[in-house]
Amino acid sequence: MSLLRTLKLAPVFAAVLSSVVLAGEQKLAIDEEKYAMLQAAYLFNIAKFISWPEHQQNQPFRLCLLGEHTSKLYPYFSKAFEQRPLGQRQIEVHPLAADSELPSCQLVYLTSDSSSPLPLLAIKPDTLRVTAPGVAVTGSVLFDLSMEAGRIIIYHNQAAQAEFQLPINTALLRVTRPLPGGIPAGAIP
Amino acid sequence: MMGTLRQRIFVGLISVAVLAMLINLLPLYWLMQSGYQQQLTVSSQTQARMLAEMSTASLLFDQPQSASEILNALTESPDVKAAMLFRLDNDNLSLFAGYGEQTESGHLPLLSSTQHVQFTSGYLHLIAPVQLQEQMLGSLYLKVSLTRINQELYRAAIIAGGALLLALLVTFWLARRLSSSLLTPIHQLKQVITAVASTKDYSQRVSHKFAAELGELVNSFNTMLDVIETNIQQRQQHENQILKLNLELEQRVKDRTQQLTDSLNNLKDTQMKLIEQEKMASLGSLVAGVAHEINTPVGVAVTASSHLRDVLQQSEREFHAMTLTKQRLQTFYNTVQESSDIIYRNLERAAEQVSSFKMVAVDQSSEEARAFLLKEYLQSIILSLRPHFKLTRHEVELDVPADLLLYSFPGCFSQIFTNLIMNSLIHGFAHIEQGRILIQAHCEDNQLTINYYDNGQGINPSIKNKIFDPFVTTNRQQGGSGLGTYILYNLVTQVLKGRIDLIDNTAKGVHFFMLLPLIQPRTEL
Repeated sequence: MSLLRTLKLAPVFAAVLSSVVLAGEQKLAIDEEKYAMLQAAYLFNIAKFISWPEHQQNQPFRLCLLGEHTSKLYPYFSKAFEQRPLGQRQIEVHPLAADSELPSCQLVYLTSDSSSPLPLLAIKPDTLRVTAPGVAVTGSVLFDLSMEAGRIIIYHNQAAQAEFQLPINTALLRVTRPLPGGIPAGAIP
Repeated sequence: MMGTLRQRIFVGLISVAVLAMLINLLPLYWLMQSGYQQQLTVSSQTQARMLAEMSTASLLFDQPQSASEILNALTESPDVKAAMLFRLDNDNLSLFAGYGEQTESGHLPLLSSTQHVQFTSGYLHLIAPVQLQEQMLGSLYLKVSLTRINQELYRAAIIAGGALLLALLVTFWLARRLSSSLLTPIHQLKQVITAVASTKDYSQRVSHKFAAELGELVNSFNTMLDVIETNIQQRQQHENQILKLNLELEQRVKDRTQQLTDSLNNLKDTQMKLIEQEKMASLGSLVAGVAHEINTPVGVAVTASSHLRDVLQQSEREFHAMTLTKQRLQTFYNTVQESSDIIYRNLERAAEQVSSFKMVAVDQSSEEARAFLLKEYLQSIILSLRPHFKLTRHEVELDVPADLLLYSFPGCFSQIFTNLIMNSLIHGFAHIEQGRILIQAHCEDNQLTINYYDNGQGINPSIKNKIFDPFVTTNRQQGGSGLGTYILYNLVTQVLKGRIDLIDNTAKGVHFFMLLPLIQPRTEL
């Protein structure tokens, strides 16, 4: 199954991936590329449910990777989004090297716990923060991907919702689960 | 077949009411039905669009449980009997989540970028696409029951039926009132009209008072009866007057008829007297002419005889005186011889005149049928009329066979030809010096044909057509009676049983044609 087809048919891909996960019952057994592609698909679909500002429509959509696994995910993400625009916007996968680059990101994906906490002042209210599975949720993260029973579950940090000022399609919220004991915004883990 | 007026009013009003109600209710019902359907369609489409949008994340993130929860929200919509969410996998649709009964989507295409709606018996089927940013994720099928709409429509139909029934009852009541208010005066009018028609009593009236136009109709009818009654009375008066006038007129006509009858009788008497007078005048004229003719020879004879008596007395005195000489005697003898000759000739002539007169006069007076030679008799007539020709240069020519023997009434012939010849002399030759009369006669087929011609001035055209009518003359101032040709016609047709015609083809003069039987029956007139 090609990556492109996977991206186009994300739900199918997810189902297939779920089957793979169920068969292996071991996270390490999952094929690394497919796992990366699955995360990319989730991020792509989550981004679809966000009403991005009009003034950004002519600019590329910048997806910034932050954390230890950035280098590992970056090639897969670049490949996954190479021919997959978000609406009219090309998706640029950008490994975040410095905090000064944060303002240019529309989506920040935290790939590991070891990364430094996001500087609160540098995070804009229209930057979507998502954590990868297995990554502890920081205060301003809105969605947290979690691998449970072979399925990726999206947790919604309702405490951080107030800081995120872009409208979110309620359909997305219907498939998310509220983050237990939601982490208040600005809290330091 | 048309019924009574009451039935027609009932049927008409109820038909109009039903028609009006149907015209109002049927479109209303149709509008209500289409409105309900449209409303249901819009609400279902909205509902489907919302469900489809809400289901996008479930499809994308493979959350059938979430999709089922979303669809289970349809429990709040009892009209939705079934909902199925399909996910598009490899161009194939698979059922992702469902609600209610599992059912078929009818003939609708499950995969479409637009919504599709279809009504079947009792249900609305709707297919809505599930898309996210133009990406086709699947489709949502809704099956919505029309039971509630049908119940609403049924309730509306019940209400409409009730309204129709109520309208019918009201219409029936109105028709009853209307027919009663219309037909009662008409019935009264009919009764009075029937009574008037049967009894001819125009004094009857419709006594009841009615309102509005019918009251005016009744008043007009009563007024009409007043007028008719008055007219009938006037007509009866006129008829009585006319009857009286008719009676008077009949009496007057009877009187006039009697007067006319008397006048006619007097006229007939007068006519007969005039005819008789004319005959007598003709006879008198004949007598006068003959007397004049006889007077001359008789006078000459008297003079000669007187001279002879004087000569005889002179000779006798000379003989007694013995003075009679031989010469004187010879002179006496000569005188006697001459005188006797004169006396003889004149007396002979007178005798001849008398003989002719006697024959004509006797024929005219006796009017008996006898045998006679026509030519000889015509000559006698001409001779008797000679005094009238004596001083003129007129001529009478006879073209009649000498042996033509008739058995007829010679008196009639005398009167006929006397009239004809005297008419020619008096009228035809009035301004002509030398006139000519031609009488032709011959036998043909045992009938006597006579043509009488003169070359006079002819008959005035104004009286040609009535020349044989009585009292027709152009010479009344000179004493003409106008009965000459009338008598002539009667003599020819009545006495001689023949016919006479005025032939109007001569350039000058007259031409009478007579056709007479040769032998008359032995009957006295």
